Amino acid sequence: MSIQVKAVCFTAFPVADIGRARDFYERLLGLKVGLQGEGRGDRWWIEYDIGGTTFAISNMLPATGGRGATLMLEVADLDAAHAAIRTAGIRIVAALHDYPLCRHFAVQDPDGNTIGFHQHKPAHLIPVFNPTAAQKVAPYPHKPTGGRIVGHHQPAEGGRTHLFSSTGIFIATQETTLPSPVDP
Amino acid sequence: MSIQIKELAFVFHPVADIPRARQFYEGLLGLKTGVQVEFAPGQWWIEYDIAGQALAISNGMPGAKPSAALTLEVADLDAALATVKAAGTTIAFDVMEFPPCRMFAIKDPDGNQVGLHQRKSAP
Repeated sequence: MSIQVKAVCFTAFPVADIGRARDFYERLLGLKVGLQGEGRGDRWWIEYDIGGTTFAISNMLPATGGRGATLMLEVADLDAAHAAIRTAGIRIVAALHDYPLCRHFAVQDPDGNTIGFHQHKPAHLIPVFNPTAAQKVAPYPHKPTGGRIVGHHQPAEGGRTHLFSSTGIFIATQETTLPSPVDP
Repeated sequence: MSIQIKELAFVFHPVADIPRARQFYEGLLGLKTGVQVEFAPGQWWIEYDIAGQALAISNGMPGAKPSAALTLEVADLDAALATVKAAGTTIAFDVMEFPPCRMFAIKDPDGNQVGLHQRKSAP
């Protein structure tokens, strides 16, 4: 039985320099920014909405050996897809990993093109944005954001902090209290 | 002024062996074929419709190194070409004319290939 593919989730390019890539995709191509997530150490995941389709650039993607875009496919059952891939003996290039909004892994097609399999998490596993409790993050001083407000911090149980994007999309949970929210 | 992008036209995967690739994309992934063109003997362009989004595979695209590419639909291909030339962007291949469309491709600063594509209007 074949894997049950539901949709194209996103297409992504790995990039080395986020500021340089943003100049290309936003100034030359004029793409509109959607979700922006920042990982540790100036590592970024930036999504663009192209007529309702998501395209992403990131300097935190697993290296694809300069082979270009990763096509990410939404599947009905990620564990079943993973089992089918292993049974078929297809080469896995990114192990199954748990992310805030989803789980995914990636393989290579017989010609070395990267294909990812992705499954969104059910809503009850994702923290909910609360505009009253959340505080805007101060504009980041570094170049990649162009000084824009990039998200919100929201207190969570156990002294933790949920991080949300500027549009209220959950990005991560931090174990320690974060500094420098914007003064109300 | 930036180029006016309308939508994602398709994602392209270059392949060497069409039956082997079809086994992967159709047999394993169960994708449904859309347009299929044998544009020269043994040279195929095959599109899959994934919930309205096109993935194309081909064993016969000129200059296609094993590098997956993104192709974007633009409002005005000639204006887009003038813009990228003015910006000094690296051109991967110049404008090519196909029956339903015209396209060219550029390289992003990391060497990823981005195609710019315009469908021909119906006669």
